[in-house]
Amino acid sequence: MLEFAREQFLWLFALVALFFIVFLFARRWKKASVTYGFVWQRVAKQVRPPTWKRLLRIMLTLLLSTTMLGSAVLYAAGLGPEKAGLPAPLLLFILVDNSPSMRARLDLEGTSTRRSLAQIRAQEYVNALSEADRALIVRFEYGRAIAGRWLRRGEAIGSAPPTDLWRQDLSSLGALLSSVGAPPDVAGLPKPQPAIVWLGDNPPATEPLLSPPARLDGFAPIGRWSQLSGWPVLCETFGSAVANAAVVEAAYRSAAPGADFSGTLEGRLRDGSPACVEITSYSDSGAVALLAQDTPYRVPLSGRRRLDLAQKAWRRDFDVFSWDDRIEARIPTRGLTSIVIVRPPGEAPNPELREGLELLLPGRKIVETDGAIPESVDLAILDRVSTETSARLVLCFAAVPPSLGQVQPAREAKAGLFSTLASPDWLGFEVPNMQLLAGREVSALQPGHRLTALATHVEAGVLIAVSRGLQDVLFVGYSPTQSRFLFVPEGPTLLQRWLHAAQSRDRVVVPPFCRVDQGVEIKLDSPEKLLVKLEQGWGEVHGVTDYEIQPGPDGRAVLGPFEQAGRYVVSTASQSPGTGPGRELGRVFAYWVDETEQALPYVQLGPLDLSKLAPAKRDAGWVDWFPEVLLWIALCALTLEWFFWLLGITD
Amino acid sequence: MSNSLFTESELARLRRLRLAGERVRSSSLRGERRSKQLGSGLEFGAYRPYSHGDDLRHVDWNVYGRLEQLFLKLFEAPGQLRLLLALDASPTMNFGMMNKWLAARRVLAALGLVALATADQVLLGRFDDDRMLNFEASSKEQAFLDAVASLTVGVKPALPGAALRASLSKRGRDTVLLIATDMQTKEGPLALLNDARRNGVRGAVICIHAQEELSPTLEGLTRLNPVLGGSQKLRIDGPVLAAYKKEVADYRRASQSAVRSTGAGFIEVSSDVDIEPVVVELMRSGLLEGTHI
Repeated sequence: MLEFAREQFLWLFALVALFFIVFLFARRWKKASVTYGFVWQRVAKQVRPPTWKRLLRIMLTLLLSTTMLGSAVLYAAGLGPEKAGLPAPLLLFILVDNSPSMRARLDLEGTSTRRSLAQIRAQEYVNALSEADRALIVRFEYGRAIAGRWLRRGEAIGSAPPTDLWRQDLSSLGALLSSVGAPPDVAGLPKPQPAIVWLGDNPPATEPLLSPPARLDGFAPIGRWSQLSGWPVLCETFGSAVANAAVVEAAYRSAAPGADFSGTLEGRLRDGSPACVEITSYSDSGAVALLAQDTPYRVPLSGRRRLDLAQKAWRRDFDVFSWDDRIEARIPTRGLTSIVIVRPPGEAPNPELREGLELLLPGRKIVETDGAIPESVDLAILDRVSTETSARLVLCFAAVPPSLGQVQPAREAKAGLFSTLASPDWLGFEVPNMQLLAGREVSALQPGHRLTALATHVEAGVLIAVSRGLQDVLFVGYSPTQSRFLFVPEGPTLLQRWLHAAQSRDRVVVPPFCRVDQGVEIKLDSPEKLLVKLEQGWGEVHGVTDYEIQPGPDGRAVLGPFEQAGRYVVSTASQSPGTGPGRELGRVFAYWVDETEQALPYVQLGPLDLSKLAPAKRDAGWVDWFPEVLLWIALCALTLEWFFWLLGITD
Repeated sequence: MSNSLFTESELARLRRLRLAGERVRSSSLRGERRSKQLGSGLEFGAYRPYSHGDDLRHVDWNVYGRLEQLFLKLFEAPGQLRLLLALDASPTMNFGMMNKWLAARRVLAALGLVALATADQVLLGRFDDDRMLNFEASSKEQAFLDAVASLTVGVKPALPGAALRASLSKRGRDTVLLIATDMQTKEGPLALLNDARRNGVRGAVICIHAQEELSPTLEGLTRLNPVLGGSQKLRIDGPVLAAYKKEVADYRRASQSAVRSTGAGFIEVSSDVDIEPVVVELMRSGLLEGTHI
């Protein structure tokens, strides 16, 4: 009925015996030599209590002390109800599946996901524990099992664990559970019994279990029990068997320089069919989704649009798992798409110039003006107009932007007097022979210019020069109307080669997408340190979001693999430390592919009756209160002894 | 001069008191007191041991024949004061941090020293002594002090012996009896005082007590071992001490009353008190002059 939980404390009775020995020794009578013996005799007769009172005093003292100390020792020794008859405490390891498939919604209407239901269920398990049971939540990080803290009945389990894109390594589970010790407040006897509850959508491979733990006998049918890494496990699943359409492959190939399209965009769905491209255009009224077209898709040169590779029938009310339904493809369209010709005010347009440009750059939009140059222009042709422009490419005829220099007054230049200078290494093309070129009006560069001379006329001066940097500038000293520049092969050849070289440098440095679990190599012009930052991801996913990449001396670097899927911004590191990223190089979309998870695997394993989780409570009897009673007895005896001592009744 | 009873300073003060007593003696009126004349008196006074230089004519040869010891027969001349110093040698006298027995001897020794200047004879002895020690005015101070210092306390209470009682019966009005006692065995002192009254001897009791007797510092479980009487166990606390003090006070009042009822004086002296005030008080009382206090 009763037993000692801590028998080693019974040795305290030896101290109690020692106490009484000391008490008896302390009661020794002190000897005193006195006179007036007859007076003391009379006094003794007056004050000495009868023998029975003296004995009662001693007995009362001993009784109270014995009661107090004995009760305290019995309480310290843990005298209480027999634990052999009590049910063993349960140590429940609640494994919440945090794989990507758990982010799938339950149905098309609601917002609950498999993950949220598993989280709720885990809390229900904790609430259904008995007072002696304990539970902890196990999640996966980087594929390895991680244990939380021990929880008591009713304690909050906290928020749902972040999604882990790594494949779960169940071999780490056994090692983890073996290393986790029982909580210190769980009684040693009877021995706690462990069990795993797996809450997910697709149970892991387990082995059959012949007999469930005694503690959970009757909790679940024998067929529901299995063992995982040697531990008994019960599984419950959430969700339903549904199909999932997903984009599992994406590729972009840049077009050749000079092509009338930017590149080719392709994608493939899970079922092997091609993904479609959804084009979202932005206007003053907002974003407008244009038609969707099958891939491969030729990306036009025009920018300012968002391209998404998506499953053709993607709609929110169709696919319960939307994270893999589209891949964002922000392709930098850095080709020459907008061209402006600036002519002197009041002058008529030059059709030859326009026709020549249309031959060199087919499909482009060419605008002519004699006024201000639009802001967003890719190629500006300055026809004898010296003005500043923000265009990336500048073709100057007999004029230069003031920041680059000035030209001399127009004069005639005869053919055959050219002297072609050595081309710099960075030019990227060969300057054609300009000997046959002549012009009635040519304007050479004045000394002090900031261009690199490519060809010099003996009489006129520098008539062909280039500049490369934020702007690529080609200076041609010949007037398009008063020279044969556009009509001899050398002229258009020079323009073609210059445009070709400029467009060759307009390559896509940062690929628009890559697989999250694979790296992609990039090549930079210079080995600048790169900062890669997650701009938009799934949210609540385990993994880092910021990376630093140091390219090699040759400018090569590898982007990825990434720990989270989503859109990343690739920038150079700022020249000033600590001020954030510098120049943005592009954006890469790391898309996630996992054949198993994207199939949204599901095995139906319904919920178990949690009312049977905790053992049936037995009726509380006096044995349950006995330890507390011992404590109260000791306290009351102490109080009484102190009170009697104050009154002089006891020693 | 070294002494176990007094320090040199105390002796010096006592000598000053003794000189004062001598002036009184020389100016005292004749006829009221008997003069002291050794060996020429008409009445036999007492015996005292022979000491070197004494007159052999006063040797009592009959006593020598019996005891084979030389004793001088002393005769008292009328008008001489005789002082009897009696010590109660009960074992209870040997008690106290400031020992009562020492205090008693100090008191009587001081009184004896002073009295030797005014009295003709000083007799000294314990209650149960076989004989009294006799000192005269010519006796050496050191001999008297040594005699007092050599007195020891007894092992049991004793009633006054024949020698002491005989001393009372010899003389009358010129004899003063001073008893040093603690009155815990009061039968002896009272009996002596009654004898003294019967013989017309003036008496006084110097009751000596120790502070521990009046205010014991006992507490708790105590086994009391009285000097006289059986031991007993007692839990001593405040009420017990209060009862004890009351009983002791009652006893002392009764003792004082009993002493006074015999016509004797009663002086209480604490064992730790200074001797000189006691002596001065007694001198002022006239007891040492033969005046009743």
